[in-house]
Amino acid sequence: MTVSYTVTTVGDTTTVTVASTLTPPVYYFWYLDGQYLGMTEEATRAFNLLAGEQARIDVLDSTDEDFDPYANAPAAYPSRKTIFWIRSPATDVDYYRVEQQADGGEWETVETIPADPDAWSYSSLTERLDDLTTYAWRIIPVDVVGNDGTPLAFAAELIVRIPDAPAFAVTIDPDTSKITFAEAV
Amino acid sequence: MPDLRLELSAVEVHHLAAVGTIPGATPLAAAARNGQGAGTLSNIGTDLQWTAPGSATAGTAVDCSDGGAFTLADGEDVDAWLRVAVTVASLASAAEAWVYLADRYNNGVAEADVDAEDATTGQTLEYQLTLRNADVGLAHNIAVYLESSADDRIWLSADGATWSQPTTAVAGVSLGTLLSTESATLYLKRIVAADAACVPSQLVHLIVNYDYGPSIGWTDWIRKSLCWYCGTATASVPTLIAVRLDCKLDGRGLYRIFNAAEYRLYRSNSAPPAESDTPFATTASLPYTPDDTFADGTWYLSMSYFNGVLDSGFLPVGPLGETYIKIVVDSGVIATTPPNGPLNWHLELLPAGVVRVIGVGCQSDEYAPDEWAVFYAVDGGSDVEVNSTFSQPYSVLDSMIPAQADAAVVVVGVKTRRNDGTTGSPTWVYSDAQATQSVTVDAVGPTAPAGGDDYPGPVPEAVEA
Repeated sequence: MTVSYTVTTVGDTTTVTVASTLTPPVYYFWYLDGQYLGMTEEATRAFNLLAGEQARIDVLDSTDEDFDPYANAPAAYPSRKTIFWIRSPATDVDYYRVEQQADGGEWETVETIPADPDAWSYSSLTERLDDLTTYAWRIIPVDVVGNDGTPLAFAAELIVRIPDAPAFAVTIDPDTSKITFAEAV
Repeated sequence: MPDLRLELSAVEVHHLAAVGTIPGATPLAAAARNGQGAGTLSNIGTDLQWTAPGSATAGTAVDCSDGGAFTLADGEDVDAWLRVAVTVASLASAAEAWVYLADRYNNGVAEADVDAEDATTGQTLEYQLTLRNADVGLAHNIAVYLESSADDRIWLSADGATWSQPTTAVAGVSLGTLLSTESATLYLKRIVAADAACVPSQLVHLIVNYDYGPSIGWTDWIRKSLCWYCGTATASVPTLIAVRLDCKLDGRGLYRIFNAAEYRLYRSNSAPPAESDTPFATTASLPYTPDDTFADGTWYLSMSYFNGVLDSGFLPVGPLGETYIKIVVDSGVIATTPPNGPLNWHLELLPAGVVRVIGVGCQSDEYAPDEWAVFYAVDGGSDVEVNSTFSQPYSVLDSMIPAQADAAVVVVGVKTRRNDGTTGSPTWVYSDAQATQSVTVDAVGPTAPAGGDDYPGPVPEAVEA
């Protein structure tokens, strides 16, 4: 059982160190927003989180080398999505444009990935997505001339993740001794 | 081979998202029976194999040299399969890759999420799936039931009139026999009771149990099967090797039950609130003033946001990760807001019994401290306070505790303090206490070397005897 932890943030790198009560060797299974990331034998792991970004980190410790990190995973509510696609059969693809649409709004380019003749498949990890927002994605192959090809569309999906915790401030009314909670500016 | 499919509006239900593959193979569908996790897809030449998540045995290698779509079965459960489209020219001579499988929301097996209003009033939703036989063979004795630990809100029916919640194949909803390309309708009903609690992720898990055989009359199939088992089959018995009993087709999908979104307010006059505490007030929007009054004294306040299914937890709002705001109420007003304590500090032993206190602090707002306050006690004696200037916004503490006797135990605490009075009549407000640190003073140097003597000139080099 993990009983304590420390969190250190330098730039975009957040390092989490935990202390386990188990007798070594101990295997640490790390999760970000419920999504399994991997196992370490060290009780520390670094995460790439942007300034102001909130995330939930879980770590399960076990002395069982064959511990199943998927069967024992906490509930997963990831704030990012991996968009995966197989290459276009066309031979003149110069790059792939990854577009994202939020709540039926404008399509926005979130990434362009050069076509690699040796690559069979590609993937793109989205930025942290907004809670309770419906997103759709499409992959557009673009040729060397700049012509857009036929998109590969992904069905729209409602993202429900662990919401950001609110920063708040309080004031008190001396006449009523009641306290008003407000979002911190 | 058996190929029953669950369809919604004539499109095969997408039970699991599948990400990852080997060159030359495009995942088309993953059987729900795989469950979530990471499976392994591999090839040697044009032979492809699938190992389902959690399985220790790769399935039989399938010759895909003709290209096209192939169904690759797992070695432990042939109904846990991965269907791929193979482009032979792109296959590597040998490759292996993880294929990551994850449940999907609202995919037809699980219908749309239940919103907060419907969760309050209750909701009964009927929907349908189509079970289609996509193989040339015959699917017989089709029975649909619910995985035993699955959602008890789901009911099944073969006709939309008689409903049940079977959890075994024997008690399952019978859909009879499906010849090649034939289909049947499976009716589902989801009953969500009024005032249903939120559910962030609810799995609907169906199991279709059936027997598979060649497309001939059932009686004839049995007879010829018996002939085959008795070793008397003749060349007139076609494709009997494909006969298989108790085939399984799973269907799975997720949905959510929302409750109303709200901010959750916590308070305590004894210790910082825990996320597991019951909020003393909730509100749909901010700013918000609860009816509760706050008596004079110290209060710890925290807040989280609940989006209808998931709670945010507390944000660390303090400089040291405190998940609360601490206030002191005096005569109905917030009397004092203490300055932030030190960000970090430690002790160093110096010669002659001196103890050095090194620390760092940071604060520049209206509550920032004016001074450091170092408290120390020697051998259980009374606290002595030593103060020094705290320069805003950053300040480094470097304070010497006077020399103490050897082996004396010095216990040290560090705070900051702010003068809310005047220079002549100060009113000091101290930061919250942090854990003390202690050292045992080392004021005496080591004892002398154990012995020694002198010798005229260099000692001679070793001389052999």
